[in-house]
Amino acid sequence: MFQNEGNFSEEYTKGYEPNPIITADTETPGDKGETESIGPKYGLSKPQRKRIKGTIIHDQGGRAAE
Amino acid sequence: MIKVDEQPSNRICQGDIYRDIEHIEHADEIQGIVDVSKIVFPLIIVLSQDCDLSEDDIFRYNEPKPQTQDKYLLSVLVAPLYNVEHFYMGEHLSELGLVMQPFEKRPDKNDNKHLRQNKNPRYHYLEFSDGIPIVPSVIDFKHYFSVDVLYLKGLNPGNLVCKVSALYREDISQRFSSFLSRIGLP
Repeated sequence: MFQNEGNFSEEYTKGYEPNPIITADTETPGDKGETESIGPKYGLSKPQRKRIKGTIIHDQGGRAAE
Repeated sequence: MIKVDEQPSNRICQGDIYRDIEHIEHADEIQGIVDVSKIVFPLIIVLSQDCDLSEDDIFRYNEPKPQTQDKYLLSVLVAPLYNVEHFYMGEHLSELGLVMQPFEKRPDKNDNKHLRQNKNPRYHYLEFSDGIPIVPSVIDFKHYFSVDVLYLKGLNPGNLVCKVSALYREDISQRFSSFLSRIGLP
């Protein structure tokens, strides 16, 4: 989606972890949406904001200089 | 209970549910420094018309190539799925700094029944069978955004969780379009 050309760093504004794989063995009491079924469950986490900052390398001809 | 198709398609379909989808809020450049702000949504569902998605795929990938790109889509319309437990508490967007209205959680109350029966025009409740790894979720028809076609197409196959079957996705699409075209009378 975004061309990572140049010097970029990215960080989530809060500690984001992609949707965790939750199994019956690793569920903790109080996990929202937990069920009795065994297997991965998606949708346990909430939308998160993520920021990327970096500098742009401007190239003149549409290709980076070698 | 919503039904899903067992056989995934090799193209983007209406009703596809993807996980970990990025939405760019804004991208600014100030004196050579780029600042991009994204929201990563745990789950989204595709709302674009399925025939449009089909034509887009045919025009992009079928051989021989059509002479125009007339059926190319610029983007795919999607809506986030929120964990219904977060939604009940009004906390589903708390990580974005947004406080939402709490919703009636008690199943014997009318508001909750109407939500789960999809009688509340703003929301669509989704509950999946045990074999589908998605928690009970809610779509808020006020929340939608577009995603680049090639971005979706280029995702890892593991990002596609399931595909809602035709009858159910058309119900979502129809309710979404009705909500979007509503007329607020004074």
